[in-house]
Amino acid sequence: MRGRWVRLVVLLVALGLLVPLAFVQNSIDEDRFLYGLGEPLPYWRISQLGVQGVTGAIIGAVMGGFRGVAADMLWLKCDEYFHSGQWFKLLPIAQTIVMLDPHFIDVWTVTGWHMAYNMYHEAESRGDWEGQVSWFNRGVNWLVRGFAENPDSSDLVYNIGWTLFDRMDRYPEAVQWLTKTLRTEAPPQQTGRFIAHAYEWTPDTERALEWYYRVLRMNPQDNTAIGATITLKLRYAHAWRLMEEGKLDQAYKEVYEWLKGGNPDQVYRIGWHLVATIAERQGKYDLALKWWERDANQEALDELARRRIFDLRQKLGLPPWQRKWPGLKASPLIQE
Amino acid sequence: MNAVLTIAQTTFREALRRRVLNIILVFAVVSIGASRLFSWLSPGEEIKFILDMCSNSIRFFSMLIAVLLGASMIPTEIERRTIFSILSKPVGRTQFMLGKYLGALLTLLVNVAIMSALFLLVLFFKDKDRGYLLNPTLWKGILLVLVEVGVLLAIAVAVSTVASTAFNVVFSFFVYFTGQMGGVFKELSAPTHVTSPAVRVLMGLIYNLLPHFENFDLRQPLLLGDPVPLVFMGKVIGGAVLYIGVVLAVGHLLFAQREF
Repeated sequence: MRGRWVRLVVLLVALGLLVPLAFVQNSIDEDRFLYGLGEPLPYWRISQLGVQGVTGAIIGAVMGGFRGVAADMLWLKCDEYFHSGQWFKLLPIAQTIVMLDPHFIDVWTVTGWHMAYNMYHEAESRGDWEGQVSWFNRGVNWLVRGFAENPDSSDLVYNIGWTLFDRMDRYPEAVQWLTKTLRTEAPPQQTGRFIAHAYEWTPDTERALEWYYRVLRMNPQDNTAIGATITLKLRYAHAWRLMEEGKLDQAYKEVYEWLKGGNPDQVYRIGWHLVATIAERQGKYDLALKWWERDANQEALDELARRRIFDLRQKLGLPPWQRKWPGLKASPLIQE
Repeated sequence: MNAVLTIAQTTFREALRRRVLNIILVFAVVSIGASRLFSWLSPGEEIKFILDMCSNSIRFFSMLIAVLLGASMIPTEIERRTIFSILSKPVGRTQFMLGKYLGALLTLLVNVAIMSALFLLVLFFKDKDRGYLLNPTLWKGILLVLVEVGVLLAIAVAVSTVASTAFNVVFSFFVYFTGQMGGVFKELSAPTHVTSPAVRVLMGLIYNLLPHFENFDLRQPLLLGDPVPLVFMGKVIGGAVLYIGVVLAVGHLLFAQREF
């Protein structure tokens, strides 16, 4: 009889302890999140994965603590797919890897680059502009997601800035991300120089020079910065100042004469961007359009020129622009 | 108390002689030792790879030992009929179960110590500036592995009072792997993901009753160099002790009901 009572008491105590236990476990889960000690596999992440991804996630969960090793193994598989040209197979696996190990920086950077460059070109080879822009956006979004998971990573934030700068000529955004890179612990050495390049091509000669000077203060032996500073001062700085002072005709003439003078910079993007920008400020939209179109036809990847063409043609009530090169459709960015 | 300690001692000695457990320990040693050979998988981050692979090897193989050891604790005694001669002496069933648990825990302590010693040796030769070796998170991580397998062992021992070894092994593995995904059950108990109230209640129950094994995993702060506050350690260890207490109490109730 006594034994039965003891058992009953033990049962009640055990059941009673379950309540504080649940509170303690909940509190530990919250602390884990609060102190940034790791995150469990959230349902929404699993539900977003494809079939291959879900399999990987289950394997990862079953492997318990071996998620990092599983991620490394999957990354080798990605490498194999990449080199055998099976690019589309790579993406679900990359999704799985970052779910298993969201701090695997290489997966974020390489996959982002893969989308914004390889997949972009793959779409370009089919003349699919929409696909190109979509892959570019997916690549940048992927990198931004990676940065959200790893806010201390210099590599990730730099790659976002670089991709915006190099792939789509989105200079103001690129400058923002590249400047953010400089606030991280180990920014790549060339970051400051690329900010200067971005300003150079915007064009904003004054800021470009300001950044080149900063780069040279850090590294007086930076030959690229030395060369760029000389070029800017020699060819465009004066014209830029004239433009800022409102002497637009004089500024235009100075740059145009330089470009027309048969010098080796006939296809130099900075000069043509500057000429077109001055023409726009003069209100000579026809002329500005002519130079932007010249630039866009000259350089296939000059997205800035394409965007300016779209704006000016709308302003002038002109029909959509036709690129001189046959077989290539226009970018949906400029709604042609 | 003496009876509990005597049973614990005998259990420990028996466990050391068990071939399966020794083979698992050999695998663990090979896995930890080989981590240096495979560190090329993460070029530039070899130390992080070693940390990751070694700490996970310790965790995984300790879990295997805990399940296999805990699951066979009482069924083996029943099969051999040695339990009858022990219980015929002035030894209560609860004392017997506690002794078995403590003996198995001591075995796990020795196994974790051997694996950790090898891990630290591998790290010693790779981590030249001793940045990781002297990181308190590393030591806290090893301590939490022991606490984690202590919880798992308690579950296996409690279930072994009524279930066969095979069933218990499957059950314990299931609990362990499901316990790694506490976050999923928490989200599934929210109305945003599941509309059925019955399913939500079930998911909430699973979430609250299962041990959250992912909380014992300090791999991420170790790799990222983040500190682990003592408050967190205290809560995890305190929660684990509470859980072990509840599980062993349930084990006591089940064992007391059992008829041979």
